[in-house]
Amino acid sequence: MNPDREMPLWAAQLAALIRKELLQVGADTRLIRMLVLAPIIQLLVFGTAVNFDVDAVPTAVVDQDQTQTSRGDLDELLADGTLKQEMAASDPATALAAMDHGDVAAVVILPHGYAADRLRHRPSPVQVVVDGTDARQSGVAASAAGRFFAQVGRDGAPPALRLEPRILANPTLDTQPYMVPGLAAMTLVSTTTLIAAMGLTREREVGTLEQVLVTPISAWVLLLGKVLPYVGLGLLSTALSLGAGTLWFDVPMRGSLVFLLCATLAYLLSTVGAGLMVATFARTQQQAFMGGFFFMIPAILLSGNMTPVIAMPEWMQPVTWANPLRWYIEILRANLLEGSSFADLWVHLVALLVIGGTLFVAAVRRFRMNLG
Amino acid sequence: MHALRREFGKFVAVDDVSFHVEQGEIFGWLGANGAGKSTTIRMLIGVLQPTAGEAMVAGASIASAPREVKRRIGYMSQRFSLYPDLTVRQNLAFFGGAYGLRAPQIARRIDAVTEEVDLHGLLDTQTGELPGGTRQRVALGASLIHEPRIVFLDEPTAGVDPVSRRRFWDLIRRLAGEGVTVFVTTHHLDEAEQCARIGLMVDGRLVALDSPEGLARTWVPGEVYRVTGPGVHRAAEALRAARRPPGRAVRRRAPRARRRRAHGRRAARDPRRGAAGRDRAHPGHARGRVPGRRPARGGRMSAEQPALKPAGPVERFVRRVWAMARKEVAHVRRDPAMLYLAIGMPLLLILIFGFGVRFDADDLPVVVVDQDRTAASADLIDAWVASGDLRLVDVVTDVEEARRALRSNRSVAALIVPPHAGADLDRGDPVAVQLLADGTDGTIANMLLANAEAITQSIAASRSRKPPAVLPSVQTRYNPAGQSAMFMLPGTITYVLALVSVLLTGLAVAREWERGSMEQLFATSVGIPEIVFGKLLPYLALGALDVLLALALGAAVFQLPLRGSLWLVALGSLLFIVGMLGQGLFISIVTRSQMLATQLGTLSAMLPSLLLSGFMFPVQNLPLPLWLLSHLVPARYLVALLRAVLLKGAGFTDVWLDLLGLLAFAVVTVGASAARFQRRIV
Repeated sequence: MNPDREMPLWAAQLAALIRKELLQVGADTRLIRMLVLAPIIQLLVFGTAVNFDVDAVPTAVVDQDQTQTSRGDLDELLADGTLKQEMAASDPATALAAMDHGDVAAVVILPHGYAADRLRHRPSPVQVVVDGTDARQSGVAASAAGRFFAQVGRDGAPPALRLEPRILANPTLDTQPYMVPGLAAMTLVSTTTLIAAMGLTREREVGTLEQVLVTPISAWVLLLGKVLPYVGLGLLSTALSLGAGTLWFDVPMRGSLVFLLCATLAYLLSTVGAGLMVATFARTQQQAFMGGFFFMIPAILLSGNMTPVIAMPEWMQPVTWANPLRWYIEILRANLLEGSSFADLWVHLVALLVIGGTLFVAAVRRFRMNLG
Repeated sequence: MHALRREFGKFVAVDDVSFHVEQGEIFGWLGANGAGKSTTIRMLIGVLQPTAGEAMVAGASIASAPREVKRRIGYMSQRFSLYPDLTVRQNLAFFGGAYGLRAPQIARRIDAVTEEVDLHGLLDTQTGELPGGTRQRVALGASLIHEPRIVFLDEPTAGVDPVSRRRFWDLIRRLAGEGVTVFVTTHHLDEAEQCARIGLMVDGRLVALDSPEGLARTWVPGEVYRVTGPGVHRAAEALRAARRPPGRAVRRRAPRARRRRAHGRRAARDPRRGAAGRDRAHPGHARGRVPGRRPARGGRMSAEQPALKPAGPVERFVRRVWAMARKEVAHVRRDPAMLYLAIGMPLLLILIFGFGVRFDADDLPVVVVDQDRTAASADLIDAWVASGDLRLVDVVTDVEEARRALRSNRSVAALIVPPHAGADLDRGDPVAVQLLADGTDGTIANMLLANAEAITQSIAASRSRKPPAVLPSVQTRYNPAGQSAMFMLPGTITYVLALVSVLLTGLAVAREWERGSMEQLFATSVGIPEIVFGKLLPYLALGALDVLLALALGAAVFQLPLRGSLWLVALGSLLFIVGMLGQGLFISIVTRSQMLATQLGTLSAMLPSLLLSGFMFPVQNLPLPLWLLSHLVPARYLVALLRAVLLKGAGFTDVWLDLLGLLAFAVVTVGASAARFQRRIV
């Protein structure tokens, strides 16, 4: 049927598939907008929203001593901005009631005789009460108050041991440089996995898949033709997101772009592969969506982006090895912030390729099986 | 083809079928639905592998060379199966490419096919916009694009008007005249008569194979009447009625008014049966069935409601809402994937958030660079690492080695103990140790800094000679163990509800638009409020179930307390669910597409509920514009309410503002979707 020798049959078929897929996406302007604009908007809004810095914890102070020393120490405690005075109460009960009501998250109580104790170097029982519902905030508030009073307690003497921290890669520890790359990777899952899964299932629902199956296209070429357009869209979206990240959130780009491209391709292979895998199980778009969702949510939450992998219980950490997002986020952070490349991150790249390859091969096999 | 057989499990769809078709022949393939026609075709076109037997199609074996078969045949299915969103030309070009044709060949074949099936002037029309008859011609054209030697047409004229059908059959005859073999299935007898030969299938077996005339002779004993003219239907009715027992026939002709009244009585007696009018659509079918077993379908409500005992407006409203709700439940039950999402997702999320999403690590891997290498420095390192949440990975002497460990993520920090540190410390001279921390994960870095600072201070205090002047005691209320799970679970419940409510309604309603059944609903007397409430009720119930599930699981696995009133939790959750359902409804009315509805739902409900609700990031830390925006996110109010009521035991006076916020959101979204609905219809 095809006497053409320059271009093998599968290549011609693949080209036709990709052209068709792009035409379809192109014809649906709303879908285009969703695929290109939505990730950018999400990135801008949520990149601004993510902020792990805890400061201005609303605090009630109870100064039962009412001396110049107690007032001076309280002012100094509040000076660095971690704690922010929301109210001053005369007795502890009022302050604690305010905490019950949710008005304050920390209460600092200086007892009667605070100034006298300090003068005579007698341990003065200062009380710090924090609202434990937000464990992170209460931890920061407690440690700030504890550090301050320990320093006051030394009374100006230099400590015997001092820590000089130096933070590499992100010295000010701004949230954005390390969160925004991960956010970009997260939005990619929803645009690639879900769209690929639903796109293939829609063809099944509408009946066009059957028409394609009677042509001599092999399952490999067919699924490859489904994968490549979405990988392309994903690449475009990654480029836009990283551009926005650098311009808007000052995410540095210290690493090799070639490595970044390879890693992104491997990552997209795995997310689109997951989408195709889901599509081999789904009969309707709804089912495809749900399947994609059951992949997406754990992938996002157990990726280490929001909360570190090493904070997870030990039995759960190996589970994240199967999560492409986890590897890709580590790659993004190390590559962009530290300039790491093949030599440091080859394990990660291999992991992505293994996950993506496995998913794709499994999808092709299941797809064939469904037909037989 | 010989002894072809296909089993699906125990069911034998095609049993021992053998026949031969000549080139250029029009071969008809007849049989009732389920007789195995389509299965046979699907085997012959190489899509389905036979269980046993062998067939040669266009000179290739379907078992050993299905790809070769596919290349030589064309196939057109009973369902219209071209891409409706592409133009005719794009469709033809795609299928040309799928068969591996080159660009010039494709252009030539498109011209030829345009001529052959007469698509002049239609090439650049969107395929979905064409009328049924024309679409079938395009589909035929697509199946001819690669000049196949055989075309398989599976009920090609189903649902096509008689004129188009005749035109289509002219095409088929012309094709056969050109030497193309046509293998066609049909239900229409007049079409079967145009075939050279006919194969008849019954229950998976080929029971007859003959010319149409031969078949008629052997299979229809007695006389065959041919009835034509305008009264055909009435005549057929009369014949059928004559065969029935007389009583039923009389009932059938009963005046409409009486039937309706009878139906009204039934409906009034049984309030579950709001879905009236089905009797009208299928007279004679519903009669005699047990009323309760009838599937509830809101799709076909009659224009007038029963008249015998006039139902009040409230009762009518309730009845219609009920019918809508039952139909929705039927949908959910038919597709249990929805249930998996609604029930599995909360469980999964609570386990993930409870176990996996934690901000506190007690196992931070650290390398130490010991530049002192004395017994005193070793003691210091021991003291430093033993206390707190650090894990010593390695002790090295070279800073560069430590940096390598940082880069490959083997450790998160390097502690550098300078030369003479041990001696200085023993002498009481101040010592500074350096900490190199990896800043690529700020959460870890912050944890590490707080930890290291605390350890250093306690070592310093233990080595200092003076007692401290202040002894702070820190007390944590509500969640003394500092478990992340306590903090996370109220947010998780909110998140689950947002997800399930918005996405499920979004999908359910968008699907109804996509399938056109929404139009059907509008043709009935069901009002907008009935549709809205009926759609929402089942999902409201699912959401309520989710809340209970989540609370139970939280209490069982993570000791989540319920210190306040359950009624407050229930009220807040219900308001929230209604609001989110309204949002899902609104999205699906605007988009009318499942794919878009899911994307928009994710964007507008899931992410804000995760990021702008105070679930993971404290609301007061948001930058001003987002802080303002967060007031529009209902999850914010529910997270605050749940935390206060569950963990602190807050009462109504503490959370009434949150309830008000939830109420406002619910009113706005449900109202907006009802209004938007109205506009969509008019």
